[in-house]
Amino acid sequence: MAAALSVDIEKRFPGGASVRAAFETPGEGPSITVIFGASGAGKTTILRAVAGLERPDRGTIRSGSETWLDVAAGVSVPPQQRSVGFVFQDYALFPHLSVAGNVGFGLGGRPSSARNSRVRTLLGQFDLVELAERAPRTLSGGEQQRVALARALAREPRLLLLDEPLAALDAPRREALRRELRRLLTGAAVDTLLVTHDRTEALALGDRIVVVDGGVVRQVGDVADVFSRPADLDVARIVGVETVVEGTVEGIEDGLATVSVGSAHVLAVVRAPVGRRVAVCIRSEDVTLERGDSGQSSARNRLSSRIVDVQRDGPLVRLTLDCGFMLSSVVTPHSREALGLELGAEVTAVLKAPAIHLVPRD
Amino acid sequence: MDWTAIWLSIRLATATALVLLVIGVPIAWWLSVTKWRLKFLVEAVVALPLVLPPTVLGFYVLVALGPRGPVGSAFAAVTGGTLAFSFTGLLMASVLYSLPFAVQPFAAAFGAVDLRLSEASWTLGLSRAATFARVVLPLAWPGVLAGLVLSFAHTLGEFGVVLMVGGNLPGVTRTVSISIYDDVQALDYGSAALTSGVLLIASFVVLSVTYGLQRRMVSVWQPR
Repeated sequence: MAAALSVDIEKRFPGGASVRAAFETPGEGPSITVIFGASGAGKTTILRAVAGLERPDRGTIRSGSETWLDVAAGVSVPPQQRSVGFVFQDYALFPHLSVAGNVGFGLGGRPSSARNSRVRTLLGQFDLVELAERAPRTLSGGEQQRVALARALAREPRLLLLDEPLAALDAPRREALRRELRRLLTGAAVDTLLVTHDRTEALALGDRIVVVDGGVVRQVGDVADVFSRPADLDVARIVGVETVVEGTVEGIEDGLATVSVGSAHVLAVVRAPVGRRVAVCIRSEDVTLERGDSGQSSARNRLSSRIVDVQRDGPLVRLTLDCGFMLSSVVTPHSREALGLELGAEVTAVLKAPAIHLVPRD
Repeated sequence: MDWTAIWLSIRLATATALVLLVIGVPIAWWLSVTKWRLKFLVEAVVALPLVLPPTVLGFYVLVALGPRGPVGSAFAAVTGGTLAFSFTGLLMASVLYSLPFAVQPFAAAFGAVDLRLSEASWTLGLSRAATFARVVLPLAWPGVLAGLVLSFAHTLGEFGVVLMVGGNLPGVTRTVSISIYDDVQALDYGSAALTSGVLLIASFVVLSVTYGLQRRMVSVWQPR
């Protein structure tokens, strides 16, 4: 089956910056593709180009069998004729119209009875019935988001585009609304392209991920794959593997590589021949801490270390350990107290070999 | 007091404001959206009446409207009438003279409407013109109103252009400011003071009502 959306574009900006993007979204049933990267990486430009709000200098955009953009052939379908729904970062609701007026805004071409019934359906679906006559400015962030989604889906677009849908909200509400957004998007059953710089959001909402950095797509794949097996060092940093240090493969035995990192050695699954320099990627969540050394564990890496930094990180505590190299770990406040994990404490960092991801460096 | 002149001035100012609404809105819209490289030339032409002495503008308009001028002869060929020293001719001159007073606030108001609202409308299938009518204009109307009031008030007080193009025909081209000038020339200070007072109070009332109204509307629409 053909790809739902296939993008291959380049846009140059005055001053030398440019955005190049080539990726496809799968055609089997509705899926959510996350465009992930830091601010200024070019994510929004890609999204706007797909909507027809930005005009690339080169390339093509195809949706199913339709060509939306083919610069070489002089084809550029205006946004009005691309079947997209766009949810802007701060929702861009029409301030002079009611909630119902916003939701029904794009249904002008339909007879008024059909329009009214569609608006009623959407208001019900997005839990907005009570708010139908309210002005957008009187709504909470979450309510505005639902109105923006309902408005974008009113014309049953082939593709839904969301630009940082949760960025306009404060942190405590973001988490609750992330779950709600996932529910609404799954319920809408429409192919979705979602831009975010937030790792948790990408993990929570995405099926597929397109990692963008410095205006270039670095990796495309299933979310879990990309997060656990970043293609290169840059992707590893972008997707937020906290510990990324350089090492050298010193020996290989029984399918396990001994890698020297700083003054320590770790065992990892082989990804590079002896003598190769590698990036050693370790996620904080995979580091277990023990007080003393019981030695009874299936984990192959037991590193004596000292705690050199303690930081609160939301509900967790982030520890930096010196174990011959700097290693990041997260624990719950409860374990921290139980084990006395304070600054300067001596601990053993325990790591399974498969949790250490080696990325060959050239 | 010269009620004929006051009535004529009000008719002229109202007609000018209405004509500017019809031609000024499209010009301002175009100026607020175009990415044309030479847009600044159009902006300069629109703003010319702000700096040009009214007599200079009046002179060119008079030449153009005269029976041998391009506009005047075309008008004569179509209608058989003349433009110079007529109400229609005066109206044309006055529209030109007040053009920046309408177009600049219009364009500023259109430009101040968040572009993303227009983009949202485009992705919802509305054409650029429909988006202008349903999103930009409703949100920019306080600015449009301000432009209309400014051009109305500006026309009410114009002198140089009227003198050059319209002359001083009672009931046809003799506006308030000309009438006041005549009174002063005739040393009739009483009548001049009365007419000036009426003009001052009328201008003040119109402006305060407009700004008061605008303030309330704008605050109602302040998002968040």
